[in-house]
Amino acid sequence: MSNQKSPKKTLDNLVELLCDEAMAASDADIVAEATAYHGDAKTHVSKLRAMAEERIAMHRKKRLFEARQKLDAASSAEGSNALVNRTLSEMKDLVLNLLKKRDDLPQRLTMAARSGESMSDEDWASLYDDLSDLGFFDGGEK
Amino acid sequence: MPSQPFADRFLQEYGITHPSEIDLEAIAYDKGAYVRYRLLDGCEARIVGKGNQAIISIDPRPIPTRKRFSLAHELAHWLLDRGSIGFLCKQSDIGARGAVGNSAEAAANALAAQLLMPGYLFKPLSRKKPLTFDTVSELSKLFRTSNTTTVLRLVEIGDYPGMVVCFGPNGRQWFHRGQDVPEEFWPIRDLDEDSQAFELLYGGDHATRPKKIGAEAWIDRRDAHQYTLTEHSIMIADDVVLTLLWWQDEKQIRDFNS
Repeated sequence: MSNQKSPKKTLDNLVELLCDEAMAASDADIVAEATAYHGDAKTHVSKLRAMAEERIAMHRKKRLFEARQKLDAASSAEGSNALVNRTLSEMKDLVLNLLKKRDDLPQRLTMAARSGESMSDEDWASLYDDLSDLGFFDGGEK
Repeated sequence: MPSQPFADRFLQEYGITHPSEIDLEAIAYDKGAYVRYRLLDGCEARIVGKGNQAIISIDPRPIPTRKRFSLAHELAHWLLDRGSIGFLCKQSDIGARGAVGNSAEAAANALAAQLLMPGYLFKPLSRKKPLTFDTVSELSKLFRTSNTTTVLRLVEIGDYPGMVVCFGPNGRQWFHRGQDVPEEFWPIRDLDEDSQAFELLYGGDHATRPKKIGAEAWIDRRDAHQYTLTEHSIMIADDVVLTLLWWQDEKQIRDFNS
């Protein structure tokens, strides 16, 4: 059996040794050593911090970029939706029936729709569209 | 260390490091709210939501800064009251000077202003900038917000003590003090003839520069004549003047506090 250690084991031991050494050193020793190798320690820490923050920001920006891409795709697709074959009167009735049945919608919307408060025909149609797209009529009323 | 406002933390999660990156439509979409621009007659903006999904409708006719505030307002409703919601928001509900008090509309307006002009971006960009409409104009271009919305934010979280006062033909309409201005400092109710605002409202002069003026022209306090402040006024409608008062020399405030 060979007495030679595997390179990985040797490396692990070295890392462990360096960690122990770093943990045993005082803050002042660490700053002194960092200064000797990298110049001003504060500047070096700032640079590292800035690099880390930039990476985090890039990762987060990706989320917004992807949301914009998905939104653009959804907007393009929306124009091709088939038109709903309902009369305005039917749409109004469906919306009003829904609002009567649902007590979880805020009073303000319910009151405005029930009273037809300044709502034009286009408002009724678009409100029907929205409620329909959100699945409020999925019980078979759509 | 004070905790960051919700809007700051929220926007930082999207890696936003510049005002131009505040893409409210994309953020709304990421949060499940899809934005549609369509003619609305009974309201200026609307949100209907169910579960994790919502549809925000914005009337496309108002000017871009107004539409952007409406979108921020509806997004704020969604962030505050996610779930089954529905709001029909009228013109009077939406805006930095819209609904006040503790209503849902007031809360949405407050959050909307923070989403449009988050403190972590607004403060560095307004740092050490004079409290004038030149600064307001510069910031409103960056943040794509109206002069009124921007000036309120500047007075609220800017570096210097200031006050915004709005005057119409019937006198003072509203005002807003910065947090460094004592609550005992009230703006006058009727315009002083020496003020720029008076000149704009009744004299027809439409281009003004910031100018030093005796504090007694603006502040209703017995000792005001001992101090000066900087006034900059602009017309924001045919008969409405918006004035920014800046305690460039803070002596009046220091003396009051001592």
